[in-house]
Amino acid sequence: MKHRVLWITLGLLVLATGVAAAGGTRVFYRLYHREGASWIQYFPGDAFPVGGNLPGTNRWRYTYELMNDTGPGSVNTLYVFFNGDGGQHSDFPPVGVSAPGGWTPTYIAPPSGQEAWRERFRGLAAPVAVGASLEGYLVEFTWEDPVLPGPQSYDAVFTTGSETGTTTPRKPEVAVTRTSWGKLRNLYR
Amino acid sequence: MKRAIPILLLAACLAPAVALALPAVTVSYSLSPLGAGNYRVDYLLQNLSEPGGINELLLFFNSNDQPGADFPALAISEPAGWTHAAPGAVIPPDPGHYAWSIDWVDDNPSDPGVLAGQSLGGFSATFHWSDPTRGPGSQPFEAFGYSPHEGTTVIPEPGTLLLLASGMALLGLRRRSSGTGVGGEAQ
Repeated sequence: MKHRVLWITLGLLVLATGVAAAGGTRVFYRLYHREGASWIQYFPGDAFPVGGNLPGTNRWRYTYELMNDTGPGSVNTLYVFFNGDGGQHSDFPPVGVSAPGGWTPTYIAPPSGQEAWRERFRGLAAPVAVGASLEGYLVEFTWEDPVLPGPQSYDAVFTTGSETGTTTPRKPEVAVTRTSWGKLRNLYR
Repeated sequence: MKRAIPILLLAACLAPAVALALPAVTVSYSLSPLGAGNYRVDYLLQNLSEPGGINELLLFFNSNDQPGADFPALAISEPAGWTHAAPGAVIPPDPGHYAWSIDWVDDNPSDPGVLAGQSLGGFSATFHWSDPTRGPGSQPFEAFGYSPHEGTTVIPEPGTLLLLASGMALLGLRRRSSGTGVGGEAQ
């Protein structure tokens, strides 16, 4: 009897975890830091650049890619959340924003005396259909923490409802220029 | 120690259910038939435990994508300082579909939003209802504070939670007085 309760409990736990993990959308991000005249891409685990949180050298940029894997319908609005824990990590308003064609970015300020802000991208004229993906969402901001900006909460809105999730970093692409001919040959064997 | 394992697992399993049963944000509604198939719905936004002030509310109509609340609404109103007038704030149905939504935003920069423990009424939508087989009912919503909160509008039932809490307290007292643990083993 005791073991049965244990197994039922475990089963319920696994089921609850599975339900919580299910999702119809994904949002990937790329992170860049302004260094001189260039935007340098950073990945999780990279060393934090000197001055990356100090005025004058603390300009960062996220670009996002929205993937509507299974819907339930077209995504017409995408929110990305900053300072989601209520702390002051990124400054507001953002330094710059841009959106893909047919989408309009809107900065939503935190309520008075608070820090959490968000960027809303709305694309009623060009929603992202099920099975499609869209790039071109960009938010540029200044940063105050001595650690790399990380994943964020996002919210994808359909006409029938919405779905929340956490942005995922894009993994480094294969750096062909840094790959020896021997390694390249091995790739095609 | 062995006895504690099933209890801990049960607690871990029930935690998400408890979290779901007690949402951080709720929206209750009241429905007023106006005649000729028209209805007005009034909404009350309640922030139970979201640490940030709620400053945006999205409400979804015909979320089953079937005919019901006709688009466009006959009237939409909101509390002072909030707006639904921004471009794209009323999201129309996709061609050939029925689901649509209203996006209310707190437009007053000096407003702290709806803080934890506070509630705000004054949101309403009036529409013609086109499904003769059923009337308007609860709707999905989304409210934004530090993070997004999804839910479904409810008819306010103030006694429900009280009843649940007193039942659980009674159960706990009974268990303590009878001196039995989970699985009926003696302490």
